[in-house]
Amino acid sequence: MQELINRWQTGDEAAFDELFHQYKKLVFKNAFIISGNAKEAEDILQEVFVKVWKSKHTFNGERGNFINWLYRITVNHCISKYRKKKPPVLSLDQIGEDSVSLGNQQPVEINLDYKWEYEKLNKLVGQMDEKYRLVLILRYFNDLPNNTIAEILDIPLGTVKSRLHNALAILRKQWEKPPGGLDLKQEKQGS
Amino acid sequence: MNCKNVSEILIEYISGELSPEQLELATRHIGSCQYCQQELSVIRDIESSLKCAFEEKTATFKIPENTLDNIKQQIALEEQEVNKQDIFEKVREMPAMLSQKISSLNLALPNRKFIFAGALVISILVILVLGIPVLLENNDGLTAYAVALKDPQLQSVLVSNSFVAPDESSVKVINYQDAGGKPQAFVAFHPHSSFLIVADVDMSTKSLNKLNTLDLDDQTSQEVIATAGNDARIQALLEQGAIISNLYPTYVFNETEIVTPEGEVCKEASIDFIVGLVLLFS
Repeated sequence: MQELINRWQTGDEAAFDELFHQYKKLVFKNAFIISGNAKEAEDILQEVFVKVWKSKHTFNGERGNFINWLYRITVNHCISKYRKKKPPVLSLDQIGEDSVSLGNQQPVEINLDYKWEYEKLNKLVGQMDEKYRLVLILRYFNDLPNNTIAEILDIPLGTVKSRLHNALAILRKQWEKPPGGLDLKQEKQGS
Repeated sequence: MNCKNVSEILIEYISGELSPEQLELATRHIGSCQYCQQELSVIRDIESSLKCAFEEKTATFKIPENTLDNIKQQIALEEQEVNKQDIFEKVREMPAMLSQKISSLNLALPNRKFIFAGALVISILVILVLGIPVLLENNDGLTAYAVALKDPQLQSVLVSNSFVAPDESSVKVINYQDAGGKPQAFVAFHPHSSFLIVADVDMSTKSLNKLNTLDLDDQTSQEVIATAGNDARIQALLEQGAIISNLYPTYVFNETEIVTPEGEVCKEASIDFIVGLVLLFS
């Protein structure tokens, strides 16, 4: 891997091609989940790898590994594009301060055996505030530990933990609503 | 450890990110607390559902096969754009240096002034500009090229150098009007990578006004390199280990509105010949 990185940094096009083929799925999938749009994910994939090529001289392996650096470029690029297009709908403000603690809620039985439940869950995640959405995606889609998420998002470890905690609290709160009880239009009007 | 403490570390408890001490305390509490056991179950459900939902969403996707080609095209375009900006900035900065190498046009045409001046442009990039933007282009372009090719003087240049006239698609034509409103055109092309021809064509009479050439032969190239070596910026780069890789003759077209002493507004057109100098760091 290190040899591949070295070759890419010296402008070896074949090495760049290899990096693209190794990581295109990672970038595309994350872009797709964050943006929610396949066409936009394609654009992001292209734009991210153009940045990768142009930034080959600025990557410093001593400050972090390539994958985390790639995650960071992808996430930052998605953020900059996404912010212009889609304001968040669900936030802590909307669920109320008393809902922040996971422990303050009554345990509920959640059964997600159906595909439509996954769609609903993805929809909820897509409507969350960006700071919560990103930690959820990095944590549960990419299986990254909190310290790596902190490095990618360039935030303190404690902030990652609190955002994760709050993000799950938001999801749980929304899930507790009865089937059909989530009125997305109403949520949007209220934002 | 109480229920509130446990609720704050449930996520790390599930992922195994707790210290051994925290893990022992949490395990002990959860083992004896039904509420926290339910909480643990709920968080696990949410987490596993999230993973499944994300997987479900990305299960069927296809990355277009031409994505890498598109990326490379975009990179090439952006690098070319950088080169162009570099050239235009340097053209404004640097004095004319090679005018003696370029035959001049008639400067005394009424209400119209053409100035052919050589400008040395240094571009420190791997790929130099291969296409200066065509500022004006219309359907007369091919006709202007055909007019130029028929001219005996141009034919003589091509034959004496064993050049083959390039395909029309690689010829740049800049159309403009003289002060009298008559259509004119500059026809620029490279019959060879080190040779540039700019023909000034009068489209109203379908004849050649003037033929201008820039030949980067060995002598001219040495003069360009010597001139470039006098530039402090180039000197610094050469001292840092840069090597001169290539020279490329090109041009930039300028068109500005001017007001004559008689108060008449007309356009002043000019073409600067440029030599791009490519420096590489090994």
